[in-house]
Amino acid sequence: MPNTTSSNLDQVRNWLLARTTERDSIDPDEDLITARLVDSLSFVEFVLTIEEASGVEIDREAIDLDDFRTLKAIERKFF
Amino acid sequence: METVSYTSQWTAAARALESERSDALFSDPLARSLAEPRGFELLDQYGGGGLVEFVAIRTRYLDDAINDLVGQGVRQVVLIAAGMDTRALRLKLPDDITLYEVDHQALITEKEKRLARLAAPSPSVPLRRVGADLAGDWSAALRDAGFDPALPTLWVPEALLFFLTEEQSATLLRTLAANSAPGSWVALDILSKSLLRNPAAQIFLSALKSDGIPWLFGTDTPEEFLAGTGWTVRELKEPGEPGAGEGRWPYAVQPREVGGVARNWLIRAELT
Repeated sequence: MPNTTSSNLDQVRNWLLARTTERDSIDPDEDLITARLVDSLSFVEFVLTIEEASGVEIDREAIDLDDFRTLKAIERKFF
Repeated sequence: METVSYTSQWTAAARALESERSDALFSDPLARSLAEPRGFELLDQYGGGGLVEFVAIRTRYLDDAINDLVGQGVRQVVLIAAGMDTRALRLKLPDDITLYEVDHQALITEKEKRLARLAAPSPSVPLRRVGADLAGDWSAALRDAGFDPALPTLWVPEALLFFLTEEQSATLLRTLAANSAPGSWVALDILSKSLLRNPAAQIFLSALKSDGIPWLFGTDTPEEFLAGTGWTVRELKEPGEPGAGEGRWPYAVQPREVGGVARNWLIRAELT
């Protein structure tokens, strides 16, 4: 496993925030999909961003959406 | 109106938003009124996922296809499930073209009532609105309205195939082919199957389903699908590419070989 710190998760957070003009913060428990911070069309870039930030390879065929719905879940699963 | 007809109101709402931009891809000044009563509410409910941007890009893509193909000899343009579309008023087509709008009679009646109330301009080309059940044999009603299967036709089933099953979509495209003279085209949008399977799309898709308007059909191999129904794809684009809203699509365009990407196809296909 690569060495990860909370600043790696910030890469994911910053990517999300860069996609919206309406927000400057995201709660760790906030549902990213119902908040429309991620959608089907941005999902592939989102997964890539998490891979790059965490160094963890994500199997596209075995995605469990619950691992991606909040920053807390992402941190728990990939960091 | 039938439930699917409400989607014509959200489409109109998206066209209204586009028309009000300084860099609008088209201008549809009637769209805001045609989106009543529920268009903006539905757009808010279902919005995100590039919906507004895609409606704008698709509208312009099909506008361009109509203009180009009319210039190349098509004599009839048939908008299938036309909804609250106003191309009959917006586009400057030569007056020897006949435009047909096919949709449920209830929607056509409502649309004509509103256009009259809005004192909309007269169509610039001969226009026939044909009330029909798209699940039934609507081609007879189209011929009764004056459609000539011996003339080259451009068919535009816009925002329609995803409401049909794969089998219904294939039947529709075969029906178009069977009513087409040589030199006929179809211009349309198709979803990718990978969009319907995308984990992040499931909330949106289940909302549509519970509202009685499920999205059913998508394909990752649109060329093969169309070839099997009598059509040869001559142009295939994804939103964000040149000629398909380049610079206006808020997502990166992923290379075709990248799997599992939610995609929308914008297509021109010629009768095989």
